[in-house]
Amino acid sequence: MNISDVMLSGFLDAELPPEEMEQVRLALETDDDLVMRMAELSQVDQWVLAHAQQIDATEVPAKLISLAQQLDSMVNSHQISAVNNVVHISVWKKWTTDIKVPYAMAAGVALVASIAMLNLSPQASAPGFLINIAAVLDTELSGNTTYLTDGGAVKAQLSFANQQGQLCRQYQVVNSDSRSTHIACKQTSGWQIEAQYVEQGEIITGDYQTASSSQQLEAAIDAIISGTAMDRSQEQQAINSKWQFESSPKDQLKN
Amino acid sequence: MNESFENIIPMLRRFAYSLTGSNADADDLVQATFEKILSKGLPDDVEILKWAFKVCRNVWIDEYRSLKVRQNATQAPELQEQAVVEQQKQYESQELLTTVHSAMNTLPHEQRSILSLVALQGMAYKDVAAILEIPIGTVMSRLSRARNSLLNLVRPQELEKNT
Repeated sequence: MNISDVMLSGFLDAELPPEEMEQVRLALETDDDLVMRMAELSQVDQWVLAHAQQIDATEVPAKLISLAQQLDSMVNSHQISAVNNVVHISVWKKWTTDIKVPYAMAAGVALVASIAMLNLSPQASAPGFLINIAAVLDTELSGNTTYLTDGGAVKAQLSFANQQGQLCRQYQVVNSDSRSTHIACKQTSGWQIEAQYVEQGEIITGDYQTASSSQQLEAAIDAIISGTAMDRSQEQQAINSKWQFESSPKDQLKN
Repeated sequence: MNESFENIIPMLRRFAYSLTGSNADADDLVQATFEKILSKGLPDDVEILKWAFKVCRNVWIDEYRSLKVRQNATQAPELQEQAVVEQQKQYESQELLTTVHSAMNTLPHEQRSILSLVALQGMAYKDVAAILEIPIGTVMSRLSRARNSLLNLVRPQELEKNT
């Protein structure tokens, strides 16, 4: 059998399928030219290594060490932060999961955290979009994903009463190039956003996906929540009553 | 385990040197790689070494290569000087390394990247394929071509010197 250079190269790296590895081994037993060729090809790797090792003799610039240490510090603090979140996170956290739709952020991810006072009513600036979201908040239990006509998706993540006795929901909106998480509380005039966390970026390029952080939003919830997050039966009760109670919602949520 | 950026500096410098062919450019490339990861962040659940190599290779393609830094560097007289290092004593001569240096500069960038990843790191084809975002079959064929090309460029000069 004729052993090509491609096969021989793959054999050198032990990357051929077992049967082809065996074919090359058998050929090497009888073909001296093939043995010589393999020796030549393996020599190439030694040249490349020797060439690259030249830089080992030069001093590593202090700037590189400093940057590496910054990166290691970043990685370690991220891990510590993740561990702390698991321990620290309040009950509501376990209700929150990201919407699983085709979506990713690219290199230039911009994170925008803001406290906003927007009204999710038909009178708001983007009525079509906001009406859809308000409808989802009015009617869907947490965890259900609703796909919008514009290709986006909305999912309520948890519900809770705030310290003013209003019922609030955290929800996530995902589009092809952004993901945002909001907290809105139900007023008599409609849903009103209390806080939001927006990640914006280009469509995925396959590189440099950046892990998002919503710690500011978590802090906002911790600051306004009263008691614990609602369970599904309490959410269903709130849906039935259009997320408004005539008396103290906390009393009614005890049922 | 090399799961810290400080630990992978030597490997990353070799890779960068293999790509750029000069000490100064290699260190600049590693610095740009670290700065890019610092600014863009590190995804969860990635191996630091592989991710750093991927970013390094992309920075080289995007910035250094387009700016023709490599070409300028190889033409600059001061960068033609090879550092005298202990490792070089293990090899035949400085001339051989200079020849390899010139030959590496003539390889297409994809072949150069693949050859560096496999020869320097012993990286598996599937990992090279993931880093370069090409099929494994392409890695295999390009690696073979790279080895052939380098052999054809270096070997005749070696034979000539030995006769």
